Amino acid sequence: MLTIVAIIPLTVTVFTSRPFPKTIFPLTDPEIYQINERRSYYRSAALGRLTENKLTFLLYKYQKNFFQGLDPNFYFFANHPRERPGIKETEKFSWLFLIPFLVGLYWQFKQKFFWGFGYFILVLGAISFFQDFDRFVICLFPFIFLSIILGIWKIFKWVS
Amino acid sequence: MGFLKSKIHLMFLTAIFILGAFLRFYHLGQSPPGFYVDEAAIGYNAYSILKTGKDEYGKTFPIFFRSFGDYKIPLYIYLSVLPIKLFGLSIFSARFISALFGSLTLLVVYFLVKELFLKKGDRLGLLAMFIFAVSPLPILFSRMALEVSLALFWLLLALFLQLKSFAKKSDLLLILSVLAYALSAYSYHTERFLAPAVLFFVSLILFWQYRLDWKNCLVKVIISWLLFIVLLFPQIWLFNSTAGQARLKSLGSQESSLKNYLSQYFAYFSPRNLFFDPDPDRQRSFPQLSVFYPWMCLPFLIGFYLLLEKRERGVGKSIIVLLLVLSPIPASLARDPFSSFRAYPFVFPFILAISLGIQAIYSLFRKKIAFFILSFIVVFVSLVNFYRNAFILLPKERFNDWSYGYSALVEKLTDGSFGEVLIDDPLGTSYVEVLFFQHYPPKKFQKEQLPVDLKNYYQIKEWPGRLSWDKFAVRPIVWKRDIYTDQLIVAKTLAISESQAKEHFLTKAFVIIGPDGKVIFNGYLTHPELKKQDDERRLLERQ
Repeated sequence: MLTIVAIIPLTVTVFTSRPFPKTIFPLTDPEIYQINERRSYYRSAALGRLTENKLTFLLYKYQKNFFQGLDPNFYFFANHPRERPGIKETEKFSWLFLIPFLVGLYWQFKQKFFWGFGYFILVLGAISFFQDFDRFVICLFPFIFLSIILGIWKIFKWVS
Repeated sequence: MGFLKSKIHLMFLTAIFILGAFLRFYHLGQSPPGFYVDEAAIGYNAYSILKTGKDEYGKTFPIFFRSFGDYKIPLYIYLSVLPIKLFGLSIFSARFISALFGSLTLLVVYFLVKELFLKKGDRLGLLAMFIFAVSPLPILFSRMALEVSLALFWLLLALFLQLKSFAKKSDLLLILSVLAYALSAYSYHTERFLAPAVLFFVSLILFWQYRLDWKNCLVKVIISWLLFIVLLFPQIWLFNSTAGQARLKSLGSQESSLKNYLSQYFAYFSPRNLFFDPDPDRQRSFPQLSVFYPWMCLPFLIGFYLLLEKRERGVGKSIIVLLLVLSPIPASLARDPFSSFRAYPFVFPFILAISLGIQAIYSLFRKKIAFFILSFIVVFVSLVNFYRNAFILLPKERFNDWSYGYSALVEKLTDGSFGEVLIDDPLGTSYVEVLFFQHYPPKKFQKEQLPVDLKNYYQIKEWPGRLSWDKFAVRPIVWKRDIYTDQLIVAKTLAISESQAKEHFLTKAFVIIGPDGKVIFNGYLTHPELKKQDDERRLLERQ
């Protein structure tokens, strides 16, 4: 059920975006050059091949996207203070919503309401395969909206 | 049975300590590659103290060490005197204190966690100790001759002794605890602000915990604060001086808005910055490793939740949450975007969160053997990745950030084949590298320098950036003058182009090659006579 819920916005976003998104899989010439360059650092060629290869490089690229998606500053502070060179960073949500977002996250965890987390991880895991990861971040917004709304609701409840 | 358990426990403790110490001491002189100017300044000043009892400027046992345009906190320099005396002046001896105290911190982490989480402290302590032993950033910071590792040791030791002193009602432990807090404040800038804050708030927490005996507790708290103030008196006395304010003024956020501060602060809790992206400061990070390994993100999130969870309240949790909240504050007020170096004490609460998370994951496994097999694989892969970063990628890709090549350069310059030497350096900081590798007698250096107003030593603002001693001069090249002097000019590859060398009749005397096979330094001999003849010829041609 969760997978189906997660797949719908992702599929719509991917198939309606033009040009059709590129994945992280085809390595560029500079990336292949970097792999070969790093292999040359090793005394043992076998060890070089074992640690510096397409798979480890792809894993690194994938992790880069994945952890980018886990960064709260990416959503609330336009990635400040660690803006990425060559990318125009935008603030996805007002920074004032950060506290309600964190309260909402905590509340979901406490209530063992893991649907939202499951959705977030599934979608983030899927969109991290795309080169232009930023175009699909919108698919993560439902979870962030939900957390903010829950957070605001909890804060109001505490105050009143 | 209990005896056997404690034996196994001790065996694990020893094994983790040996592993941690090995990762900190292995090839200490070679990795990180090169020797950074700040490290060289620390090493040479320790050497100077050893030989003369004065720093490089001739100040006797200073409270702050003047270093380039800044002032350094003194403890690391004073402690480095001993390894330099024992092993001689070398990269290893300069980094020794950091590696030693980085290793000893492992034991402090264990005992502190045990004290914080009394019931399940034993296993959690071992786990936290292991995480601290293998995490990339604590290893890196224990392998550089800079102060953060030492400062963290004193801070955690102080906290441990403070907890013990209240639990055991021991005045001696309380005095030792305050002494350790003071030593941490004499170790690094961050702890100058963090140590008083931790002492203050932890005292309050402990006062609340032992409130039944409130009279005795109140006396203890007041005495500890007063003693701390007395021990910190030299720093307080100099607080308004240039030395006391130097780092404060050089920090301070450029854009001072609440939003900016919050973004900086929350950056220290971002999984991206903690588990994946290396520190933006290339000299304080591995090429492809962050503060912790990426897999630690999951246990961290679980542990973080467990720390905040109301169900298990206690002094331990309150103190950890306090450290978690306090430790990134000094760094987040700084200009740099994300500096794990300045926020280094934050590793302790994060390590505890990770350990709590791992413990929670462990309890989910029905077949414990599966957990251990999985853990073994994950740790093995992590250590391979660490080896790759620390001993393969770092020396090849970051040697320039670590001022590589000065050792070989000084060897070349002091072999007796050159006369006057000019080292081109717009900042002028590399003089200390040459002094360090040359083992230049500090007494001689102090005499050869322009006299510094020692009465106002802590008020000096200017840094000339131009120094000369013996046959060496370190400053930027002045083309109009330097090519007409018979000397050797040493410059980095980009400073003098081939066409410039040809135009000014500079002949290459030697090159210093980097680990990537490219030239780092060029040594050029000047030919003033040829240059003058060429000038005259050109003048005639123009006429």
